[in-house]
Amino acid sequence: MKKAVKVLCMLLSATLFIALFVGCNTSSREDMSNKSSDNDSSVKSNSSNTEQTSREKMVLSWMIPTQQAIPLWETMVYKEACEKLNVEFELTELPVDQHEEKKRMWLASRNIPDIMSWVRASEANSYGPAGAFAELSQYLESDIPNLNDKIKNSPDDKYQAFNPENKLYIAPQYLFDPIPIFDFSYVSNRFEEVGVVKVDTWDEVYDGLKKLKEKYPGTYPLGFRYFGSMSKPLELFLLSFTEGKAGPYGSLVGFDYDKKEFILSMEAFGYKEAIDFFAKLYKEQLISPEYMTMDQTMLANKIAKDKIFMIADFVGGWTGIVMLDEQTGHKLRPMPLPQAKGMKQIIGHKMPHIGGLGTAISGALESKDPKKFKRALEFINYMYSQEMYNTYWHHPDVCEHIDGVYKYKDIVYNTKDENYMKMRDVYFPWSLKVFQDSCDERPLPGSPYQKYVDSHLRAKKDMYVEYPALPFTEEQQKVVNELTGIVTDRWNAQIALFAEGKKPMSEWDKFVSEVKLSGGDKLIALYNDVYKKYFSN
Amino acid sequence: MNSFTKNNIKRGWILYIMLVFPVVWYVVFCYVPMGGIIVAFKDYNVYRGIIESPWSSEDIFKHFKAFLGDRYFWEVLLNTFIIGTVNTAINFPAPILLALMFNELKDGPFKRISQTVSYLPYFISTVAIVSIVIAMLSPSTGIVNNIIKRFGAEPINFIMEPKYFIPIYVLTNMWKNIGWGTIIYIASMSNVNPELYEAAGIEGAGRLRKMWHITLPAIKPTIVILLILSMPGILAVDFETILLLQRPQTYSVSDVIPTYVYRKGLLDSRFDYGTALGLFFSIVNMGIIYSSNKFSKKAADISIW
Repeated sequence: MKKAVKVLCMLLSATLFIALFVGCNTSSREDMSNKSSDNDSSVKSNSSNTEQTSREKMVLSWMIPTQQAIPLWETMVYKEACEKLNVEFELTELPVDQHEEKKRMWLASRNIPDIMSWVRASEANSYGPAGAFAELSQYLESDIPNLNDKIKNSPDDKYQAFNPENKLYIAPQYLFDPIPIFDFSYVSNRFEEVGVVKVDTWDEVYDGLKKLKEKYPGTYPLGFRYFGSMSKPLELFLLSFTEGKAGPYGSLVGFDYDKKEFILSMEAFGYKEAIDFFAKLYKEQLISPEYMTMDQTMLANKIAKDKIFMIADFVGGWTGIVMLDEQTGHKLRPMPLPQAKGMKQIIGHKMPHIGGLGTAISGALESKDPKKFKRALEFINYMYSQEMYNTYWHHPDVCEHIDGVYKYKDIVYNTKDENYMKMRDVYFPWSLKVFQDSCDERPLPGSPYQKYVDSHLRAKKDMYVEYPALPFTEEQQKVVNELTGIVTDRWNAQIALFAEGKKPMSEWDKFVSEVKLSGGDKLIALYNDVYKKYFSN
Repeated sequence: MNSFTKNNIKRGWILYIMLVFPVVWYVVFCYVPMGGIIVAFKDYNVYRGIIESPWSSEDIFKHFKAFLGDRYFWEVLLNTFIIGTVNTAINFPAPILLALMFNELKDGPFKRISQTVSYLPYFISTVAIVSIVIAMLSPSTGIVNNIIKRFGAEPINFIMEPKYFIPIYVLTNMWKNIGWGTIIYIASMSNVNPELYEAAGIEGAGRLRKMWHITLPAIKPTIVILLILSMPGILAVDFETILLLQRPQTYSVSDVIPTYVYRKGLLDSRFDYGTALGLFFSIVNMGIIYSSNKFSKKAADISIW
């Protein structure tokens, strides 16, 4: 008996040990479901389609992040692509936060899937030359003409994706008519109640906030939800006060488009004034002190209960402000970026058509399996076609073409329907935006936000300012990352103190000097060297 | 191999075979990966890998010099040291005190319920704990500020004030871990001979004297060993809690080595720099634990090795 127990214990240990090793060595390609059989059924159901190619069916592995509630293989675009190209995909779909980690693991293990989506241009330019990804520029004309046309139409944006040697390691995201989607909103009828009808300038906005504070003591008229850093709450103030010279999205590297040179954003004219103004609003208790702790639900509750009357949030598409607006009882109206005194009014930065994200093809596939590689190129070409665009953004199930204009059916806006999210994901899967992203995705027709997008954000092209994208070499990118990290640390440590008035603005110049000395000067010098090399005419 | 060892192996060969498996696991998954520390001396490229990535250009100690020459690094190190020391100074004796109090309770439902309730926060995720703390400290809806407002004072935005960060962190840690920490001390106390307490009682010792002269000396070896093991915790503060509690307004006190390594090493994808930082602190921690062990051996004749 004793021996039997010993043997049993030994077997148990051995099983555990083997299980640990097996667990660590399982294939790193996780199939979410049995794709083959499902793809077979989707292909079989369309087998009568005379357009179906009689080419050999191929299986390609594809890694893509997801925010959808349904698997990618249930979406319209995916089904059409498989049918048109006679491919099956071994999909690896992961939530966005897991995707990044998985991507790094696969790169490190050199176990890269045939197609990898949502790869940043900087990553592609870093790993592509080492052989991780195929170099695509040589195939643009012959095999991916749809993408080639788009790149040719946007020559100014090419360095969003190309590296300094004009090599292309990703098929970059293409953005149709991109518009900035982060803006102010306000409860207009409350402002009107206190006699503030126009909110075109900061003086008018300030007047409105003060009067609301007097009328509703105990409230904080301007609020933000927590975005993770100080960049977002300050972003629109900096944009307005510096006429966009402080750079986009709270960047620490700005661009003086008059002098055609990069600058440290905190040296842009108006930056200090923006921080000072924010501090003034904070000290006068016009900004909610919970702006760094509030989540969206709390913010929505406060708006609904008339504790907050103005916010900054994402205004694009069907989600973002539209959902917030619904949660708050449709009180919110869009507020165009107010104009700072003495400064010209702008909307934002010209958004590039070529994005800094894209889809890469495995370098190993190019060398080891030319047939599969060709099919992968065909797939990429299809994903940039007008046909795919129509399937994605103008599917007849959800969109009508009336008098030359595409209009979405009511079903697209019926957020209260329990099947709403699933319907949206079938037709407009978020993850496939990495190919062609349309700003046809728009708020409810006739809503204040739709009018705002059409009559302001889209119409006023002259109110956008430029911010060039630069091609850094791998070495330069490392230096940029290092110096940006140092500058960001300094900025993060101090900016909140200035913005809340806890540090006097008399110490601002000393702070800027410190940032410059610690690496800011070197960073800007590098930016300007690269800019002069590629953009000076 | 002498005959005693041979006999031992012969008698318990199955046990030795069972031991082989975890030892091999340990070597393969814990010791072999240590070879990766050479990344700290390289210009690491994820795709090229550890072996093919080139050694750091100009100077293989480039990354070490980079952070040692960065003034911000020393500020972060100082923050880590302060937070770690305060946390250890308060949260090390706290479970001992709680265990002593539990030991004084009569066995019964109250004792069991108290102990269970004290353990429960340990099993709740840090994210949930911090969310509760932030909600409780909210200036508009939090219970703490509601009490403050009742006394006629202005609400305090605790989360955004640097001076409150360390107390909030220490108390959050205490709430989460104090109950769990009592387990090992209660186990040690249960080994104390009850006759000692009886004898002390006969001699006229009260509760406090019994604690001081009987209970504490009995658990002294446990305390000392746990103290030695907690010393590296001075530099290895709880990353998750700090990351969730910190805000830009409190960076001056809350930015610590783990959050610094997280930013530089992971978010900025500078794995070589992050590895250099990690290696540096591993060596420092090894020094701390070695010194603590040596000091304890000299002072109290108790040590881990």
